[in-house]
Amino acid sequence: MIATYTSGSPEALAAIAEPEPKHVWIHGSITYVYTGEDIPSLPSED
Amino acid sequence: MRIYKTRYDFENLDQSEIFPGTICTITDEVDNPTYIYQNSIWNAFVTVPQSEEANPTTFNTNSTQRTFPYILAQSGVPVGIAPNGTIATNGAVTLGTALPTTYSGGIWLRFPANAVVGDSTGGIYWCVMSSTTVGTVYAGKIDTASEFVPYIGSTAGGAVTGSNSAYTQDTSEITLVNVTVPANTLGAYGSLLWQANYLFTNSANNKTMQQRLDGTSISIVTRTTTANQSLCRRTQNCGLTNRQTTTLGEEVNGTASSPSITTKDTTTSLGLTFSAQLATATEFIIFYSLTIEVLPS
Repeated sequence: MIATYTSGSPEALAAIAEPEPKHVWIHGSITYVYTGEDIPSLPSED
Repeated sequence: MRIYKTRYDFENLDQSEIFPGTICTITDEVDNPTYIYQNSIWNAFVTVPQSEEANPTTFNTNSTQRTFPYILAQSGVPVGIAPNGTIATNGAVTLGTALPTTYSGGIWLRFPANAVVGDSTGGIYWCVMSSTTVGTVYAGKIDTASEFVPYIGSTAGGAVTGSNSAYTQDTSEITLVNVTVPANTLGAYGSLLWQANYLFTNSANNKTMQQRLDGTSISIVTRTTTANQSLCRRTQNCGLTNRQTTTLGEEVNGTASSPSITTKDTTTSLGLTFSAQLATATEFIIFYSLTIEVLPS
């Protein structure tokens, strides 16, 4: 799932603090929280 | 000399009477194509709209597809994620880790929420550095959720008021550059050729550089014990305007590589974003060179 929040908002901070695995993308004033199958693939050395 | 002709009259002009440098605008076609007479032939004459002169790092933001390659965006103005540090009340920043050079010509640096008084979200600020760790942060925060190609920032707004408390940088993925790919610029076989160059702390900790098209990851690279990364990739439509692949990096012998496939509709405007992520907040990543070329089909 990809959830969208206003960066710095209490909802964004709460979502980031959740214990489940996630990827957080701060896109300026918008913060995206990726969970489950939407978490980007693992980074790799090129 | 400037002349105005219908398409029919233009194509039937007696060229023996045309002076070199003559500019002709077609009056009966959409977008009024314009030509300049040089070397005894008519050449397409392209101008930059006045609204783009203040920010000359981007071109061709209209939605009319062009048929020849052109530069969509380019910049050598650096933008980066600052390491931990402190911004004093007079706007003086002291970084906990030295940057690779003294950015006396300026650099955009991203600070987290509350490093600057009144900034509850964090953002990118223009900084003029006097050393590799000390500089001044200026007002005029950039929100990279909107289009941003780094340009020489302004100091006219004065220095920010810093919190005067040590800040801890976010270790999330942070957008540094955001370029709009206008609708209908690629065509079914067209591509974006983009080059991006980074500097970062040489350490065992991850530094991740990711590129996204309309929010979906198209390329991601992570480095540790090296100090720089140069990327050259092509994002190309696969015979459809809503399906594209992005080329991978150097092939690793004996390892199958999965292609990067996305299904973004390029008949609409899309955001091409360049982001970076630290694993350790005491380190830095600097995005210092960008070129994006459109090769339409």
